[in-house]
Amino acid sequence: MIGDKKGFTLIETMVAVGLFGVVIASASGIFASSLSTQGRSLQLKRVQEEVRFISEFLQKEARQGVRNFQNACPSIVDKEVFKLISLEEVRFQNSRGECVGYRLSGTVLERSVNDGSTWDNLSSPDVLITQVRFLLVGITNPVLDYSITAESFRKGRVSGVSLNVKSNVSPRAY
Amino acid sequence: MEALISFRKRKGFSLLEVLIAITIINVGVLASVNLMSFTLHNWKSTSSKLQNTLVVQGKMELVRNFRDNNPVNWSQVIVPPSGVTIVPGPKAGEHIVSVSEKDVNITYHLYDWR
Repeated sequence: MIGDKKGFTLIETMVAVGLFGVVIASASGIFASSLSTQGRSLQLKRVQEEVRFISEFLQKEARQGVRNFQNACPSIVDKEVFKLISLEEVRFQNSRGECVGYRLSGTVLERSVNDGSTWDNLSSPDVLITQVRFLLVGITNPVLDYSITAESFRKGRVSGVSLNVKSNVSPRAY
Repeated sequence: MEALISFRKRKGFSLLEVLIAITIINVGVLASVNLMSFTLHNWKSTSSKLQNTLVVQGKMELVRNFRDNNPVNWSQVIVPPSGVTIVPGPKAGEHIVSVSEKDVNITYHLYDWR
């Protein structure tokens, strides 16, 4: 009776299990690589969005910057637009008359609208701003050169996806 | 003999069918893997496009700055930054400013002050 039972032989089972293992191994390899590729795409997207946002924000505000008349902003020299506090901090008066400042504080780009009394985060916590450099070229017709380096940051880990952009902006007030 | 005949009559996939099925599955898997690497490549080229676009905007900013400081004859006396060409446009006071940086080319229409 036992000999008549239908079923798989040991060899058949072993071959099936072996084949199954090979297929699963290759499929999981593809899955893992697709997962890491997708993660990397997401990090790139995040870094790009961050850099673009900061750059547009700064450009738009600095382009409409006005001369500091009647010492409206005490930290800026009279009748000038930009004031470099350091390589990582710049101040100017925007079109609404606010004394704005941009600075790198640790790995966060901060913005102030009250001449540096209080600062708010401009960059997102998902992205580390690893380097910011401001440079003022020319005094009579000022051009603000800037360079921003951002690196994506997720769940307490640096991903190694970084992006550096350089550009410059000059106010239309001249 | 009986066993051999029943073995031959067993239903199942032929080798050809299996091969075709494997090929179709492979094409699908390979296409999706290729699509992923293509997406990553596109994201990377977006990064360099963003960098170059900002450089182009910066150069245009310099041209505009020069125009604003030399309103009378700016287009004659300007020394264009690298990658910038300025040609007169069809309208009076119009200038076509082409700025290129690597794979990014942007054309602006810049007018004299009136």
